[in-house]
Amino acid sequence: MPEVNAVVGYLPDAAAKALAAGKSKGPVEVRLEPGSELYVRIDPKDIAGTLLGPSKKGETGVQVFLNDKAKVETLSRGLAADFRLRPIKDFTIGPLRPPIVAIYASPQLIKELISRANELTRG
Amino acid sequence: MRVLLLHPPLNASREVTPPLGLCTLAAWLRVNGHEARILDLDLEIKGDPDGANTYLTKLRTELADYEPAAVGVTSMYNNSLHAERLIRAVKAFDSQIVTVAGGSHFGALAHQALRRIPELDYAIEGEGEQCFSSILAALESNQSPNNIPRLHYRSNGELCSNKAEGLIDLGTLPSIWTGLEESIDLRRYADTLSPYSDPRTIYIEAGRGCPFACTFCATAPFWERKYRVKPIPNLIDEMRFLYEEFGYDGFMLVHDLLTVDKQFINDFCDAMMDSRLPVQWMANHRTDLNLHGLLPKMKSAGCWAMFFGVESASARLQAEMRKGLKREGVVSTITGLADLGIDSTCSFVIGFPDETPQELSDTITMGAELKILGAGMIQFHRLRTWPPAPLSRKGLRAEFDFDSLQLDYPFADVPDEDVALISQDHEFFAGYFAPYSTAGTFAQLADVELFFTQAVAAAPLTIAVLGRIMGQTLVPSFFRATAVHGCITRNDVEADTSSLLPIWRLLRPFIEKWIDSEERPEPWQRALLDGVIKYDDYRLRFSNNEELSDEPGISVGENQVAFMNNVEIAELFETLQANRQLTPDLLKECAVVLMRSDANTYRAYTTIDSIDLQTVFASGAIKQTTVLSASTTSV
Repeated sequence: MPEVNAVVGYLPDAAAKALAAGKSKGPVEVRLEPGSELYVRIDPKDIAGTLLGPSKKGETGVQVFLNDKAKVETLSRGLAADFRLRPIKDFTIGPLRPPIVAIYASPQLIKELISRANELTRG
Repeated sequence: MRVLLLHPPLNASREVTPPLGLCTLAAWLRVNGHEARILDLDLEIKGDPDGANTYLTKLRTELADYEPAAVGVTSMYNNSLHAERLIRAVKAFDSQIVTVAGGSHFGALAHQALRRIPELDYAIEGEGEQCFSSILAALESNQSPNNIPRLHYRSNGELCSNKAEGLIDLGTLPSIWTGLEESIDLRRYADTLSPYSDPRTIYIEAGRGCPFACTFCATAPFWERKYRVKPIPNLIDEMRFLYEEFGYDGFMLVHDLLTVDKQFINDFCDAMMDSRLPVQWMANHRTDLNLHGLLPKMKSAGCWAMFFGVESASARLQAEMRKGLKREGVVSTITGLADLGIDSTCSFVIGFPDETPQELSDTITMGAELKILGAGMIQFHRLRTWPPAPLSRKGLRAEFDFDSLQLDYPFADVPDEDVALISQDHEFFAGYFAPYSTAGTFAQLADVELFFTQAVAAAPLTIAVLGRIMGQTLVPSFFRATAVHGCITRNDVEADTSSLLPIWRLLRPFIEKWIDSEERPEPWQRALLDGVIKYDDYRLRFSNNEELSDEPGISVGENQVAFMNNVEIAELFETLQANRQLTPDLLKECAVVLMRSDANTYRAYTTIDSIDLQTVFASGAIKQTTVLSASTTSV
């Protein structure tokens, strides 16, 4: 089945609307979970399109579809690291998510979805 | 016709959600020209310490006030004795009132309900809406209702049954919430939610019927295994109304197996995204139904959790119970959901008639390992055989099990009178008669259910490692330990449920005595267990804000703690998550660092190099700065 790659997470409402409208400037930082300090930073040139979900508490659920050969950067804010630490992948401590997920769907279908979402956003 | 619908006392929970079946029925009766009011005695007696005695008084007050011509009573399995008392009280109040019973218990044992309760006029088998409105229409026009499908009734002193046929199109159900003002006060339910509830959760019905045929399942045959869903616009309207009017923003989509139809899920996600409703939802799923690329879309459309019946680690039992799940499918599904941040609950059934303690050991270990892979909650439930589950018709040898009754009973204390009434009627109260199992005695399986549900929640790493080390001797060894040391009790657990820490404090001494009394673990395995117990202990104490102080081997900062451990915990997690064997190499002196960056955000690390704590702190490793890590991932 065809496959596209996406970052699934949350953006502030205004940033999500701007991104969906193609008006985003500079790197986009998608938060993986509401309230989490894990972000995925994406260069706008690597973004194929954005699908918006519902908004809650000022953050909108987004799927940011990536172009081929895109690179994303994972940022973890708030804590120090000039020392060699290895993360413990313990889900009882907090959610652990890979920055990119594969979505098995036709790229054309994704384009159509994005187009429809953009119309709704503009509406 | 004027109808009073009764919901008997259900449980001790302070948060009450509207009785879904009765709300649907009330809406259905209203559009069919009847008046309907719901008396939810579960809600009415909340906070009343004498509720077990006052609910019948409340019924009589309501009967005098509302003067119904008919009364409908629903029951779950756990409150059917109270439903029975309500029916008797209605007839004692006014013998002219027509009594009708349905719901999951009376609807499955309609014939037996009529035989048991002389005051009951009619019982409805299975789906109730059409049958109930047909009864009322017949009575209004002075016709006999005795030819209505699904109806069980009396005729000339005989019990008679009509064939259960004809399921309604769920698209014909009226909008159940918007027209209920005169039937039920929904605001009272919303007010029972804690101000800290996030999300504010309510059940809504998404559809009915699971096409699978698991032998232990009562609900699939109840809905005749026919998959049906409500129209998506109706579901969205229900959610919008409940969100806008009462602030509910978490919806448990009630359906035995909503994800059977991928097209429905896809369309539902589209509609949720189009609606822009800021709400979340959860649904039941099976790990062998492949949703492919739909999961990310479900996440973006507000899916926050999924529930799975995994049932057993044993391939033999999976085949025998006609579930047929494979371990690799379960693992990949739970991992996939965790990757997306979708929570999951995995439920296991223990105590099948010919289950072995060895198979049960594998099941417990699998539960703990799923938690390590990211499942949110693991539940172990003893097998019960409620009709109309296929297993309930097999005539399994069974015995009355007081513990099962106590667990489900709507009130804290079970009166002796109720124990006597229930234990004397095996056919009607089948679920409180546990089938014998080769996995253990009733008491042993009750201990397994209680202990491992709590232990996997509190200390999954400890139980996963214990399970790996003991293998199929885990449960036999547990039984030996409980025979010597006793087991925790439900009263112990319920004494303090404020967090998992008090539960861990109950569990830890038992686990340590258990390990000490076993000959099986080799020295390196014992050392491994010491290390994981220490990790789970500090993790729970730190994340529950217990005051920790500097002492040898531990260093405490404002929002961090570091302690020396003899196990490379990060490597151990990755070993279990990759399903690799445990080896002595995991014993490696290192520091574990736990950090808190705000009230509910935690991180855990180990030092890569063997290092002492003072070096960790001197390095600045756990000081707050702006960015801890940045890594690049390519498509």
